[in-house]
Amino acid sequence: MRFTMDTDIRGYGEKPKSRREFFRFIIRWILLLLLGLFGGMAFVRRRCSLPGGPGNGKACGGCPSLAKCKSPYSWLAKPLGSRRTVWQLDPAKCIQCGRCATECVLQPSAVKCIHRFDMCGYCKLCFGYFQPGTSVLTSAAENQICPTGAIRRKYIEEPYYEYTIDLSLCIGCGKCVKTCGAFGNGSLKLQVCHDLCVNCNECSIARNCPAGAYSRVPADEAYLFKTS
Amino acid sequence: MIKTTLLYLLLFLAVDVMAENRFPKPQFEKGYELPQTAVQSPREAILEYADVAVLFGTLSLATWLVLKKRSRKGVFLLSFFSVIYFGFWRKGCICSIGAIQNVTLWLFDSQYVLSFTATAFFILPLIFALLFGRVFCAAVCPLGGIQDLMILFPVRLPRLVVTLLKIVPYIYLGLGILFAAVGAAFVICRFDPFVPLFRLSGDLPIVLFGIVLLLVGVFVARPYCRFMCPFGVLLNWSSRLSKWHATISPDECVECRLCEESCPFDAIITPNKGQVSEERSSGVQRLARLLLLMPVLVLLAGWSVSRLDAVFSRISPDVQLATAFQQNDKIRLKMMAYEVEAFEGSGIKKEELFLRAKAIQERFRIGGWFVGGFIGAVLGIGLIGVSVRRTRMTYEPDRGDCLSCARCFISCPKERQRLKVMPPVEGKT
Amino acid sequence: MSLDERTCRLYYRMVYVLAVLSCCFSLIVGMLMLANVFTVRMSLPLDMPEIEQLRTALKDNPSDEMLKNKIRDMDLASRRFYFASLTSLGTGSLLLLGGLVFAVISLKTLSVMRMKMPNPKEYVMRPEDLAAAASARWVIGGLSVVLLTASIVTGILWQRNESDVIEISDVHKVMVEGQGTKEKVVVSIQPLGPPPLRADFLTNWPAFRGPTGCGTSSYTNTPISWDGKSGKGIIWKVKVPLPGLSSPVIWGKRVFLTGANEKKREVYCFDSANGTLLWTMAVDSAPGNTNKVPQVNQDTGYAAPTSVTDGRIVYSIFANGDISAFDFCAQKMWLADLGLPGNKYGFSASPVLHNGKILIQFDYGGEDGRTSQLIALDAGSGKKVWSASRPVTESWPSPILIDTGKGFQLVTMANEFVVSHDPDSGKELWRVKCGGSDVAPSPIFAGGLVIATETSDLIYAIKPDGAGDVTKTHVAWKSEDGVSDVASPVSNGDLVFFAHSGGTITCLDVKTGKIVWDKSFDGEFYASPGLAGNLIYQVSRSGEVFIFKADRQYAAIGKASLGEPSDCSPAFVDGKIFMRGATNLFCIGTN
Repeated sequence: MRFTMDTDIRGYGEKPKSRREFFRFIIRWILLLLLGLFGGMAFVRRRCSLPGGPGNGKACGGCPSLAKCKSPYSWLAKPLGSRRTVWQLDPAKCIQCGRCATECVLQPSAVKCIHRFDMCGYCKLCFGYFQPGTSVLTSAAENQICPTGAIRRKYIEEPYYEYTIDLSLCIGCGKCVKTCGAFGNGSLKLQVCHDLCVNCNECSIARNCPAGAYSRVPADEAYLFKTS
Repeated sequence: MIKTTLLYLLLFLAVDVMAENRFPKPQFEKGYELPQTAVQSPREAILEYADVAVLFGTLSLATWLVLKKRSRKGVFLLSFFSVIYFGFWRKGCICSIGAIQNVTLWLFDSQYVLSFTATAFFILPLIFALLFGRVFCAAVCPLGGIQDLMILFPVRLPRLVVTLLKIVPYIYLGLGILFAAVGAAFVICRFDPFVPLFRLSGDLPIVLFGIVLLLVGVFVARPYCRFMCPFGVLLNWSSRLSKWHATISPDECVECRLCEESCPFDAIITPNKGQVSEERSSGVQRLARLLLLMPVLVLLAGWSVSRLDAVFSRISPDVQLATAFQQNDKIRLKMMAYEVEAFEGSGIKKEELFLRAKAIQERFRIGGWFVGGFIGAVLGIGLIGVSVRRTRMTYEPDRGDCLSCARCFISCPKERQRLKVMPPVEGKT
Repeated sequence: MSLDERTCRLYYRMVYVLAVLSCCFSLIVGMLMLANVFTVRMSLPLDMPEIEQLRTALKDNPSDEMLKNKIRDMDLASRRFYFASLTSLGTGSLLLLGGLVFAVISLKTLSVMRMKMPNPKEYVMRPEDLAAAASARWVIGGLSVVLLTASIVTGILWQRNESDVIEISDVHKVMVEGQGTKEKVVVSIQPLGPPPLRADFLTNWPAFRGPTGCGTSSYTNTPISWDGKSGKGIIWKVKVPLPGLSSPVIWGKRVFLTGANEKKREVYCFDSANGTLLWTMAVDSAPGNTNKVPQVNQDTGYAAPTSVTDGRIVYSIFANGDISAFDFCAQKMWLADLGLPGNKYGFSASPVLHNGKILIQFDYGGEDGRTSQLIALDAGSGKKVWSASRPVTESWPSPILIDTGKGFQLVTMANEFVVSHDPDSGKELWRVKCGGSDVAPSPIFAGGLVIATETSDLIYAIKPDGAGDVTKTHVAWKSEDGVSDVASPVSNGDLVFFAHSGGTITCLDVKTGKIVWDKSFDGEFYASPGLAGNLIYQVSRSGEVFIFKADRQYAAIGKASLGEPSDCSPAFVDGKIFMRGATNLFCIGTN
């Protein structure tokens, strides 16, 4: 290539084009090859056949525990592709600050309170349901903790009451979760509901979560508590 | 955050055992059946693959429409479809522009899981651009599409303004990559002006920014694409190397100049043969000076951006908390009461937080050198670019800037000849 | 083309009206929605102060039906409002979308209808390309300059204002290894990053007897009662592995201490918040060390000198003449050996930092004093910068750095002479001949006078503005009253207090040297007193701490107890006192 000022660095039409065109050809195909390789890797499910790796030759599901992979070649097994991930919050870290209700890009939030019946004590005096110090256990507004009245209380048998959450009313503020966790069995948990979540690339709640409780989890285990 | 994901999964059994059981499990006598806790599963994997298939399909269709069919109407309809599908239906996430950050983070964080969709959204448009030009911008990108719809009364911006504004995407790309590589934030997603519009919900300032951009877009065609889009930079480079690029004329250019005004994006190169040119020696001297200036610019910019580490690292909550602790800033600590509460509950030592914060800052410092150097190089190349004159023989699209929108085709008499359509008659409204 | 002109016009007008209408419609809907967005964000039925108030009221009056009804009504209203706004937001955005679609379509049609034939202007050969290129160069060049300047200025301003470049010394692997994470974070060590501000020196306790070296602190919030035995008023206490008489030095969240026996020498770093031993660094023999065990008195021990820190590195000297420098994260910066100090009680002078140099009063020059020196080491490397010979034999006081207003002086006290040196060159500025032997108390600078105590002899108050031998000219007063033997005095600028090992505290007037009061206490005093605000803290050898006002009348404030013997002087930092007992380090204060 000549650096002539006035005439000869030609555009796309003229004679020295062939040289230019040749360079372009080379670079183009190098780039295409790289992109192709990169994309190809996304298709290939990684198998851990790395010398020194934990499960020699066995598929290790995209190596979830690469941190533990002792292979000096672990960088080869960067878990590319194959795993779909979604945002979820870890109830063990959550401090129920209430930002799930306000920070979500959706209104109302995609975070809702989920009730784990198998952990519930079915208490007559439910700490997640009643305001502290409530004496008359009725479902009147002055007694309820839930700001939207999303928790339903149903009599089962003495002294047990069943509590269910109306997800269409729940705004994910976590008030009930806080008190249930502090005084009760902790059977109420905040979780991102995946029928609502739009799975933003950068989750707005995660960004603002003071406890760093949000993380991407594999889509096939999208809830961070046992469902049964 | 992401790293620890899988750890939680392993841990949560243990957590479950530890969960408080202050009240014993009830012993129901009347045969009450424990209800199942119902949760909705995320979107089916097959639908995600379908997204990629749609992406591939639209890209191919766009290529065919631009290169073979040469149909503006087809491109328009396809881009309308893309706005509906990738925009309003898929809520604009994940998009190719944001995928830059996923790929970057994957490159820098060995434990980040790069999803197949993100990979595909990143590479497919680039591959197509390397082969066929920016057909992705023409008809597939929902952000481009919604702006394209708004081009109503395009005006031509002064050359100098365009020269200046065209540098912005490079800076944005550099910073976007820096923040993603450090693992601090996905700024490109955070400040995406149109995704909130697709979702019909979002942060108010960003929504307003999007609306303003759309309104500006009535007159200045596709302002985001031309003067902000970081992915556009990559597409621009790829498109310059493209094998088959759209041409204005389906045939040999007859230099009738009818297409001159047809491009709202200022992407048509006009011939300059026969223009008065500069003394050769003075040009060479200037070029030499600029080439010498280049490394200075690169180093200076690298240095100055690396000095911004403290500013940049503030985006990370860890750093915010660490600095608040370290300066014992009562006001800020009060504002971050929840963060402090969570931190104290986590049992992590402050020293470790400081360590993490420091590491982030350090990464910003090192990354700053590279990104600053990149920005410096862009400025330097910009200077050289406007100083080197190329002889342009015919009317042709600037391969880097051309969005392959197919608007200019119809202005070419050869094209009309091909389509056998008459030019509109003068005087008709 | 088959349409005639009128139809065309009509059509155009229709589209025009449609465009205007749909634009207006979208605009109105948009405005309404904007307002609605605000109300939704505001009206999240999360914290309703009114309802909360009513609820509290209800608690006092649980059977008030009126109140209950009021709460119920408000609750229902707020929920209704919230969900109604949400619904209208949903419908609004759909309406807006519809409106916009109409607007765009009609506007698009308009723009197509108004489209003109391409009409290229007359072709001009454009020589202006050159000019255009030149102005483009200027513009890009200008942009580069603007961007660079902006980023440099931001970087500089930000760092100056917020100084939040994370304190580098806070970081390193030290803590992380404890966490079990094997992850190695590579952090570059920049021991000489931005130096701390002067204010930091004053708010911390960077050296023996504090920032002034005279045992005074400006904090007034120090605790006045505690009990080491029961733990009352003690934030934490922690066992110090090796014994030593050195006092704690505090910077930020770190407390530094040294300990040694005849074999080992160690520097400790504790977390000031909870007393956790953050790190221990053994000071190995420095190059050139003969590994001889120094001869020490039991009362002095192997770690009598207190460390000194510049906020990034802590420097510690031991009885065998080894001096170490560690950064705050236990990274060894350097190690130097000054040679075995030949003296009968053990080396005890604490180092002083000045202008990137560590100044050590190394007064162990044998009977004729020929080799007594003032040594200056470069703080960055530990290399000797200069040394100045001193006309004295042995001594045990620590030097002090004073600012006379005309410059800094390093004032030293030793047998026979009070000598002032220029801290930058070591040149002797003035000296005062005095008597005495086995001098231990360090001088102080109070009320413009250097107050030096010649053990078992006289107290000298010296004006520090002389030159040469100023024994005859610059001694403001001498006093026989109150001469202390081990402890250094402390002063509030008006009065100066001496603590004698026999348990007497004497208060003299700084200006005249006249005795103001003296008082006997039940205890022996070796530790130097400390002054915080207007309170003097004097610890006795058995660990009782007498607290009294620095006043012309003796006024006891309280008596506290460490619960174990102590010969170390207290360190005061913002509401806390750090004291070293015989075995433990105490942090006194309230959480």
